Amino acid sequence: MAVIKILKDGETDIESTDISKFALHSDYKCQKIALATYVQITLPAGSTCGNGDSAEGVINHNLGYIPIFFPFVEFGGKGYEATGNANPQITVTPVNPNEPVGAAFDIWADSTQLHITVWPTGFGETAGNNTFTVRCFFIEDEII
Amino acid sequence: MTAPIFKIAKRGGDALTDAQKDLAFDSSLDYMIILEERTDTSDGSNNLQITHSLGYIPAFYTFFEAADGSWYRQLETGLGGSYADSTKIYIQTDEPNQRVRTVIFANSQDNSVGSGRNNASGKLRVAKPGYDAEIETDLRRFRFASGGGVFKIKENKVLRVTVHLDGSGYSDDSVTYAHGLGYVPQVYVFLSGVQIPIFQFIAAGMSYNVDFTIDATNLTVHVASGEYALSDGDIFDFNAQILLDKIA
Repeated sequence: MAVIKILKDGETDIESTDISKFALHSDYKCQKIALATYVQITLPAGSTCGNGDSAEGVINHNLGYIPIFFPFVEFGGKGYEATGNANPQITVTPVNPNEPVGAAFDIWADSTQLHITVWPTGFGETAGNNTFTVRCFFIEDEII
Repeated sequence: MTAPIFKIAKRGGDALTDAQKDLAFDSSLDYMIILEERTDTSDGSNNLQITHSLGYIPAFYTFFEAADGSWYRQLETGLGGSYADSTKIYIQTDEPNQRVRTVIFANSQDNSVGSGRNNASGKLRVAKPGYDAEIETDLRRFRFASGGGVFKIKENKVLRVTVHLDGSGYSDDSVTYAHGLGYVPQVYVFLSGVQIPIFQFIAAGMSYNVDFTIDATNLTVHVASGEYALSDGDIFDFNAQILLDKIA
């Protein structure tokens, strides 16, 4: 069985057993992007931490399985890495400039959609109107 | 004219009939193209700034080195966390002088095409539709380029942690998997379990804590809970994709 191997720039040993040196090796799957897209979510003015206020968004990926996904939250010209529950937490525009408020995100997937929930953080603090762009790379491989 | 498609099946597979997700490579799809893999150390105030000068916001992926030499994802950051703008990546570490492994992808966070960069390299290059792989120089206009490569998958693995409460209702359970690579590999870990759907990791706001670490030998997943926050026998499944690319 033929094996197709392509080394990364700077690597010279095509017989290497260290697969990290290869850009592509046909014994292993490359991590392919099934879909890259985004959704905008607005946390409306007056949203207050502790009141149960939140906003939700959905991205339809329709892959039929729960994919590996790789999300970022863009706000104010910055793209935040989303790594966990209640993460990222971003400083957003408050109603009262003297009472800073944050926004936190939960992001999770099922076999058809990515679900995003954002809510204000900083107990009792109230957010102004804030719109976020959640971008996500869906990898063409299932989590399970 | 329809562009030709270049498919590579895994050993024993069939490029003509295998499902797209099972192929080693398929030129009709985009890839997360690795622009740079680097390890840096934060300063004494836990700050790390990496200048990429790309002129757009790139996708990136980070791991942090723990005191015991294992590596972890920063699951709970408080306000801030790691972010990129069009010039730099900004990272707040948990400790001063802490090592961070950062993979910077050529892909912008919205996977848009662009022009003006001169960072495409490698002997195998596949341009996105409408672009010429022999002319283009901006990696954003490529689906694949072998210069920096892409993440390659070793295996997917499910690690199941069963909660065992002690006499006071607390728990602290771990499961370890020997990945056998002999170096610290990149990994994605997702979670499903009680009270939560599947999503990417878990951290704040819970009365229990879930995390994972990886070193040159083992992937270790861990669940700990406060007084009766969980029940004896609760199950957490960690779904890991272990990659062949290196953290260290």
